[in-house]
Amino acid sequence: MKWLLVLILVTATTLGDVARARGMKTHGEVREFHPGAVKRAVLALARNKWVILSTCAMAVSFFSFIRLVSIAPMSFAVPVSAATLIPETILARLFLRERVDWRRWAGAGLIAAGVVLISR
Amino acid sequence: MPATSGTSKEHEQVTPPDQAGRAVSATSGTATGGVCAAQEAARLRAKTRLFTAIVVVSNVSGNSALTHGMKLLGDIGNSPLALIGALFHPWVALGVALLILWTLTHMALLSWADLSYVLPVTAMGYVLTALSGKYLLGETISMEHWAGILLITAGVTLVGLTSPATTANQAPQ
Repeated sequence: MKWLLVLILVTATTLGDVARARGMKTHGEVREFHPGAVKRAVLALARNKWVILSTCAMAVSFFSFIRLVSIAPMSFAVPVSAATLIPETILARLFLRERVDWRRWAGAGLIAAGVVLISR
Repeated sequence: MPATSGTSKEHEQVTPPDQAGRAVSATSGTATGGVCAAQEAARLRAKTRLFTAIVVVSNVSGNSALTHGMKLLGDIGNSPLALIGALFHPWVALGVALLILWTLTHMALLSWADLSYVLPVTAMGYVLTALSGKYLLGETISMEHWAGILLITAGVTLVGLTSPATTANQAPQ
């Protein structure tokens, strides 16, 4: 049960983050933050298919996370959620066409190693 | 691909990264006329720092409140009704409110910054979680944990040196 939840959590979070990044890039930079502008942005984003896909994936991710922390310690749930770091960086390079230079690869690797250490 | 909705506001193409690797926004040329690229990059960097800080703090505090609430509730089973019912527990509700703030600021941040930038720099949250355990709960931090905190901080610093945005945004205007 625990590992099935981890699999669902990691897959849903990866899909959610990548779709969210894709949707927000098609929307363009959010520049204004007064209530009217935020309302307009939220209404526009509610019709963005990537944002809709992301929201569905994030809902699955959220419920699998709260289920996981109710049966496993936080010191297990948090580091396994960091397992999304490497696949998401690969997808950012391949699917989102971001320039992932050596500093970003090295940084992601150092962080993944660090998360393993602080979770033991 | 999900079901298509086809509004005029959606732009599907992603432009290749610009040669200099600088932050370039599609709207900046028309909106701010003569502002030079360095000023634009500095503006984006300051905005990125502020939003990264809000994203990290709301995520760490939201997850802690959520976890605390779920622990108080105990094992509630797998039924969707029980999971939805859990949302009405005060700690879980506080966690959800903080995670809504996290969602909105995370989305805004991703509207200009790369996912391969946002993801590593927001990993600073793991360090914050470990340090809050030390200072708020009086837990001791082992050498191994300090080494992990050092590695994460080094990784975040390294990624923080890169430009937050390497792809030109497809703004609707």
